[in-house]
Amino acid sequence: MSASTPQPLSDHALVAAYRSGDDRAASELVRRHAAAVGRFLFSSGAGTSEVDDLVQETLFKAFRALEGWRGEASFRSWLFTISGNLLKDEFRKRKGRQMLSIDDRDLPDRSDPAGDLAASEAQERLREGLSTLPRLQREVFLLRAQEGTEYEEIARALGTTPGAARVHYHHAVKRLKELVR
Amino acid sequence: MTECERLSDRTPDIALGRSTWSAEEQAHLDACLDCRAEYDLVVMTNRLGAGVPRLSSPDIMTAALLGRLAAERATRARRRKWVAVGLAAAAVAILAVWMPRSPSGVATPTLPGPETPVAVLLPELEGLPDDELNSILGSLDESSASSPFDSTGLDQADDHELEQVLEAWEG
Repeated sequence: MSASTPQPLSDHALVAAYRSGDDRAASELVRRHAAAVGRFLFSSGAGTSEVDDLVQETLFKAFRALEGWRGEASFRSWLFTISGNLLKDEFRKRKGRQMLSIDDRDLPDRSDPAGDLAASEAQERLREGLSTLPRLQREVFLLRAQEGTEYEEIARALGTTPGAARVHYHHAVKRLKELVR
Repeated sequence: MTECERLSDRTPDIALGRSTWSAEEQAHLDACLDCRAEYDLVVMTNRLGAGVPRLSSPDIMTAALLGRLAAERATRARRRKWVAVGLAAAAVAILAVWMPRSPSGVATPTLPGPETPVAVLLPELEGLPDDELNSILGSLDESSASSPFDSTGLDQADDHELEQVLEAWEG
């Protein structure tokens, strides 16, 4: 008989553990979700130098308001909602100005400079395109495309309906296909 | 649901490597430019996410997070303490205002008793924990409720009783 490996604790269990004073639970939640929040922020248009700060701010706001997380949507979706709000504030501060520094661009690999440059340019167009989408379209699209989140959960996280989330996703796809083409 | 819609629903899972296209789906994808473009877009979005710049390590992030949360808790506790001190001061001030005055307009001195803790030294309050401050507030409430300045019931007193009360106030 082989010993079964222990199941990793769910986010709910980790949140409960943290709230009862276990700081290791906070560490595990950060390890699980920080990178995904960073991906979401970067894809949404956050500048290279801003991503780390925005991830930390997102985590701080989330942990400070853990009572507000009712568990209707996943912890990660909830973090995305918070980071989306932070990014909106950041955009407002910049007054809609995009601040893409030179190191925001992926440097092309030297093995196929022409092909990689084209791919890099397409990615940059995609990132710029994402930042011009209406917020709900962008967030639905990123939750779906980067996380594979189901429409039902997206709807719970973003306060809309699954049907509306599906429509937002298809609008975003249509718009982005035109921009990236 | 059309085949295109069905593939659209499956696209994120395939792009994330959680599933693979069936032979039929692959054939549709090869023939349908729209579905192909959507799939390429989702794959590109995933690659975009992979280009996230240098994030702090989870350990550093956690340490910073817990440090900020602890600092905020301490600030909040300090603020609560000052609110309690403020409330105690306000209670003392209210008692002083409610003190009956003699005809000359000078506030009547009161006899210190076990249930009249009016002479609380405010600076000392700073060092007290919340529960002790709350108990001081409670005793202030009790003393004001049972103080000789309580005018409830005077309506029913006869002249003799009223004189006794006045004598007690005036010492």
